[in-house]
Amino acid sequence: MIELSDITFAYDAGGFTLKAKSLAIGKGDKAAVIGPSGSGKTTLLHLIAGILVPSQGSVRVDGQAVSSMRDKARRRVRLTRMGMVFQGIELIDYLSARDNVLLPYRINSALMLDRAVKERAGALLDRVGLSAMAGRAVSGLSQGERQRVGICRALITKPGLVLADEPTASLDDASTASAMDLLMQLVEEDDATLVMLTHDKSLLPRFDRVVGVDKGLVSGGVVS
Amino acid sequence: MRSACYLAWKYTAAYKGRTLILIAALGLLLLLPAAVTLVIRSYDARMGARAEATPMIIGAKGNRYDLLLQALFFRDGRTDDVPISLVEELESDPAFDAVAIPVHSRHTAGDTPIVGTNLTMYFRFRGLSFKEGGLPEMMGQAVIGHAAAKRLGVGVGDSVTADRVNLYTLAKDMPLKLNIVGVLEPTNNADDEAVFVDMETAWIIAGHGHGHAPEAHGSQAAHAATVTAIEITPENVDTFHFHGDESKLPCSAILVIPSGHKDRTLITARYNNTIRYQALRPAEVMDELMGLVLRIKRLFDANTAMVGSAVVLLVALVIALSMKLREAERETLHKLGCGRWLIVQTQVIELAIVLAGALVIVAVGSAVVLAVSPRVLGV
Repeated sequence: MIELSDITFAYDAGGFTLKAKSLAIGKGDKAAVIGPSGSGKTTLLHLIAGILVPSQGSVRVDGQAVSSMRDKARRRVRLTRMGMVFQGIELIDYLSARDNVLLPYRINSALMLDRAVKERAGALLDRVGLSAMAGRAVSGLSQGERQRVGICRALITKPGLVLADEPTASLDDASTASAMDLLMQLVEEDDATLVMLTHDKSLLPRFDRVVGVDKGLVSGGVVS
Repeated sequence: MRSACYLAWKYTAAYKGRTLILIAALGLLLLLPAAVTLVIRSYDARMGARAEATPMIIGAKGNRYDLLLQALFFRDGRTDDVPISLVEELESDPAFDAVAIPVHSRHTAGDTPIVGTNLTMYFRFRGLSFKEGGLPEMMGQAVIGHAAAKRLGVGVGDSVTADRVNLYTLAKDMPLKLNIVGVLEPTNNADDEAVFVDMETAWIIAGHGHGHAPEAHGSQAAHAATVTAIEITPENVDTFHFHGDESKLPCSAILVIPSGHKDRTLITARYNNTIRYQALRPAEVMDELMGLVLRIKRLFDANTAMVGSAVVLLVALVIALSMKLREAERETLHKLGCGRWLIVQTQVIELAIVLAGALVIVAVGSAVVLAVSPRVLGV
């Protein structure tokens, strides 16, 4: 469950301000966040993830006030309970596909990297059709393949919440459909909550709800 | 820390080329001053110890350093000879009490110095012992130092041949075949790299004496031009002889061991006041010599410091550019939940891996330089 109440966030440098009076996304929901470029969608996602902290109001994830936690605690929540898929894919180029998937375990000693996790990584890569490329450096993969690795990385920890920042923006139509199918299936299998930013209105029927953001104002609860 | 080590290792392993270039650049930069310092220290210690162990040297007037290197390290410098009679003169002078050991080191065998001396006295003075064989029993026999034997691949029963210095003067520089009868234990100094013969053999090599072919005994001198090497054998040893005043036969230096401080002072006073001779205290001359070397090293160090500063700035630039290039990676790691400190740690460990690699180059390179320097520097 995600709850945002009376949120105000302003970047130090610019005059852009994001405001959300009230937004609640239930457990297991699949919510799309739409809005024009520069409207504040990514800022909203980063506030939910605890990457940014609002100057006013509170962000709660599963009942915990993420916005009032210290940086270390927010990072821990991000690593253990959230999975993130980025618009620019953002893999670590010098790691193999398998190592990228296992990265959350490598960078957080609280997560135990055991045989089961490695098997899950292998299974995920197999599921997305990349098992043959698991040991290959991701710099040699196509955009579509890289994004599939990014999706596996987001889901390796079996997070309760998956945050996706326009994951199909840099993909062609075929890759978009394939990536979306995969993301939806995996999220459903893990019964996770999905919050995904998108420009692509053709994807909206796949979601339970749509949240609109325009000029820094969040209008929640719009039913698709 | 384990996470940082993992990422750092993966990064350096993925970009082996870049990493190796950085390691090589830093390693070579550090190797030069480190190796020079180690070699100078090692030589200071070894040469200093040999100089300390030699109370006095008497030789012809001239360059002090040449005489020192000639007498202690068998480097054929531009020193003049002194007559062998000086040995007798020193030992029989009632004004002081001293032992005198002649050294004749003007020739080589395969670039290994041939040292003519009073073998019994010299070996006793230097504390040399035999690994194999023993002292020569006749002219034409030799004892070889441990390192020279190893390098030339010879032992007791083998032979080495004296190099000819002047191919056009047939009466001199006999290509004498020297039969090895003893190999010395290693000493880690110049004695390891020498072939020792008695004074008579050294003089025959120098052309001051000769033998006669058995069939021509009494009428015709053995002709160096007609044979590739002359060998002294039990059959012909009696035909070898020296012409002229034997007391004037040369030696390149005389090692003097005075009985006491007073004797040393008297000998110094006596031979430093003559036109022909000079008396050295090796330890003092060695200090002067190393002082010169260290002064040159300071210039070298200054040069290294400047080049080093330039390289350090370049490496800093490379690191800064690398950090800039990896900004996106840091941002991704942070978004995933990685602490900023871990990212800094990762880059510090990467730098440590590069430095460790550079230090391996320094260690291996220094060991190689130390191993080859005796052959390269010849002392």
